[in-house]
Amino acid sequence: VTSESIIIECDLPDSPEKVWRALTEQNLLAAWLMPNDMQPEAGSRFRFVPADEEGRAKPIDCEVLQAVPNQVLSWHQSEQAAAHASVESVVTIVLAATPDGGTRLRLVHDGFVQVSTREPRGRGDMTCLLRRAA
Amino acid sequence: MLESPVFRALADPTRRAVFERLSKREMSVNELTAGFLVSQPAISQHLTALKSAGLVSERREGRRIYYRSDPRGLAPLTSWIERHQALWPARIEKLKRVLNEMESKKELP
Repeated sequence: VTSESIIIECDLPDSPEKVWRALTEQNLLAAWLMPNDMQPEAGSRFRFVPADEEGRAKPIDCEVLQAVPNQVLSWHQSEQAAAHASVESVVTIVLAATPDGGTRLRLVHDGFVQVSTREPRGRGDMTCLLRRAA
Repeated sequence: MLESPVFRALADPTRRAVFERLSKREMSVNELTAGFLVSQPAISQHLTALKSAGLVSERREGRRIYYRSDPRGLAPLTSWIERHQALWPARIEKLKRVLNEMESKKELP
């Protein structure tokens, strides 16, 4: 429904290998994002379980779309947004080595769509569309 | 937690397609139905749902009624995105702290 996207770019003094660990090791990822059971393998499903201070009680269902060590991590996520609908979106994090040994991190969060949680058929169709686009 | 009619109205794929077509230009029900494999009564039902969610507005011209999407109806989705827009920079700051801590732990014997 919307072509809007959230884009964040920043330069980190740490190497891509180290940043990759912070993105893919469950306890490190939990320390800056949310508790999770993520495995950095394309096709693997996982959940983020938001902490209470963010005011969200429902776990976020995710699936890894792409996991290229030290380069790209992307996942599809489905978050309950209303009683009968969830919002699906895709988060993509790209890492690139900088000449000074650091990392340029680029995060894109987009592909926002509302999906009825009452219609499993519609939901499946949308997930397929997103997978094809990814 | 967002509890909004907008999310329910846009949860249906056909309804979403109707909304998207009407955001390009104003159309009558006949024009709109021509682009879908759905009957006119079904399209009218979708229009009613979209109108009640504040996503579509109508304009009467003689006997004809023209419909068009009202982008202001998307405000709840926009606020959902805005919430995430505000969350990410804070998370990246946390990531920087996590990276720093990884370093200091390494230096310990």
